[in-house]
Amino acid sequence: MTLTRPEPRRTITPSVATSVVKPASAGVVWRPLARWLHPGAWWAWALGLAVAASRTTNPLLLGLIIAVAALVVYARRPRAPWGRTFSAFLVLGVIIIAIRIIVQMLLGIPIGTTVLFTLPTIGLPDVFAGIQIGGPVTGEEILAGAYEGLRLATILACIGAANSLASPARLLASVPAALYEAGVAVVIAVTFAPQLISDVRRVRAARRLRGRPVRGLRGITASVMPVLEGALDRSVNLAAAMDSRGYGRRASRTRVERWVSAGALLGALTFGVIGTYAVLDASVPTVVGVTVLSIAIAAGLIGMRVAGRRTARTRYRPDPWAFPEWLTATCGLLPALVFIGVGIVGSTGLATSVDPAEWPELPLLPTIAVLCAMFPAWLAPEPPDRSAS
Amino acid sequence: MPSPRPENLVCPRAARAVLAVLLVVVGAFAALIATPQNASAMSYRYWSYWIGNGSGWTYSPWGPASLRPADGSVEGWRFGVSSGTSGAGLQPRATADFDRICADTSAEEGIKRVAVIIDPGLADDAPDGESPGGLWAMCVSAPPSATGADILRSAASVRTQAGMVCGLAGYPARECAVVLRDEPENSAEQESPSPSATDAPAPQPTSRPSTVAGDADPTTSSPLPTPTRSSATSPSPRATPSADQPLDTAATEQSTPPPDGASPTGGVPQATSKPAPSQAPAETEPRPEVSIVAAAVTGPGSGPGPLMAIIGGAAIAVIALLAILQRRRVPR
Repeated sequence: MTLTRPEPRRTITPSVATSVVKPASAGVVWRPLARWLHPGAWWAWALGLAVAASRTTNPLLLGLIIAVAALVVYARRPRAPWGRTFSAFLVLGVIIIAIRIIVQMLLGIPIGTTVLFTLPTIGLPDVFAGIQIGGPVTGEEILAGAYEGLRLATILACIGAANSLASPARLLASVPAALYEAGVAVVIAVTFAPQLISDVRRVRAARRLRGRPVRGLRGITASVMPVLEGALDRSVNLAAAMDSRGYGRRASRTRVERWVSAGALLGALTFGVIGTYAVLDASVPTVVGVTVLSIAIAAGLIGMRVAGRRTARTRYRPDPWAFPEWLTATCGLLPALVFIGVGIVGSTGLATSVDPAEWPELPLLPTIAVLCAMFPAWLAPEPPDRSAS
Repeated sequence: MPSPRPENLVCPRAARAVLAVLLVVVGAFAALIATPQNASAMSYRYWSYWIGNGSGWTYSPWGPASLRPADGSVEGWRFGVSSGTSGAGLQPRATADFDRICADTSAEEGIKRVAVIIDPGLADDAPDGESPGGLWAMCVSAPPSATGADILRSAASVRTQAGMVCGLAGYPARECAVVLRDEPENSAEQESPSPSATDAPAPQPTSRPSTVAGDADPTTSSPLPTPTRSSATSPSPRATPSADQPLDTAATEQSTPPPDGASPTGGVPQATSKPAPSQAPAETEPRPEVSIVAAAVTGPGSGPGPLMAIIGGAAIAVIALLAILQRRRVPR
């Protein structure tokens, strides 16, 4: 039983991948040899863009981020099934904008004075004194709802981009050793979800052939039991198969290691909570927050490392992290840093005034940073299954 | 499988020591963080909202949209830098004197009169490249259901962002409740104790009215409050106002509202009553002059033009076109 789909690989070593170029038939086109980019690089790129999007309500910048994400996705997505999920995220974003505007119209805070129309007001008991349903709908209110909806849609588009660019199986293959068991569980769940659907179809077909009802409450309740039974059977089989292949074995650990890993992870959690609070609270000096957070990260790394020793496994064909990975991650994290920095400095342009409604600006630094995130569309290697055509 | 080693017998104690050290460090950091107000504490620059309480000002713990000021109350707005979130030392530099501001506005049945004093603050606190105008006050006649936000909108043009009042009458032009890292230079005024030490959010959110008295939203049930005062007065040219004289409202023909763009309607100039002795605490700083205006003071419209939006839209269109071309490149 294969847990992960084997993917074709053309590249042997990262050094070959970065240095070898192949000339195209018409003219000399330099491009990196096709190989799978490390999924962590795609996720770093996408999360950086998402962080940048979360810091602004400027529709121009948000639109630029979506366009850049779309360009990179369509230029570098693989032909695998997960590569086609991006447009679904875009559709979801449009729905979210619509919902956000409707909620704003029904429940939102009245902003501005340009009343477009007035909805009937529904009286609520005094307990809900702060809430009002209906009432006047202003243009500023709708604009504010649209901007905030667009921000959420942009964040979703970034997540969608990572989803369609990075192979989920490869991402799971590169989880830290401490999370090995969780990774295996997720792989099994992801692999079995489609099988469950085919099970349901099989049971329903069998019931239909026997002339039993397949629709309605009776049909559903009657087909639940065979499906569950099949799932249980399969999991018992899988457990036996994994046990016979040596899954679940643990390297023995000394007591110190156990204590250190538990203490370090606990400390990382505590410091992480305190540090996050210190960073977010404006009355705490930045130095303290950053120090505590870095202690938390260090403790977490130590804990992960020590805890990872209990799995005595080597990785099978680990994804290399070479120059294209660095480039992609940097191109995504740059906008995040620039947007956060510009927000701290407090120069205008990230937020667009709604009341009074104004034209959005195009601040120079954030715009350049977002355009930098476009580079992976050309500089990242193509996935092998795509360049084969 | 390694056999249990003799070190294992000793190690729990060492591990416990490690854990204890960790806990101590965590506790020390927690104590450090819990200590309020470090040397590099941040300060905020924003419009703070005050409620006159006869003799002085009270920092409002509520947003202006949540309050329905009663007839005869005084509302104050002050722009400045505050190191805390309670508006310490930021109260408007004028006495909350309803009788003076509303002396010429007659009371009517079904209409409440609310005095608004707007204080753009000190020049030291102004954002770079901007300078605050003078104080102005207005007697707003409004329906009883009008909230503090409605009252404010009839006294000045309001710029809001994310539920916060960012600018009044175009000041400050762009920023909104910014966080300053540097401690502001303490003026004599900023050292004065806070009138209300209650913890309150720094910027005033214009949230839904929380005290709905059985009627609908003010904007549905009633139009925006309109100023009824037809005469305008200007500050007297006195150079050194005494500390006990909070409102200098000598009557003159010409009205000079503080920020540009104000358009007080002309009318019959009326002499206001003589300044009454106030019970304000003595302050070292002289009281600034207050001009009473009759119409809302509006700032200059300084928003960016549509040029940037057109450029940005074109850029988005070009990148989207590239994306569509890339999508078609690989046949599925």
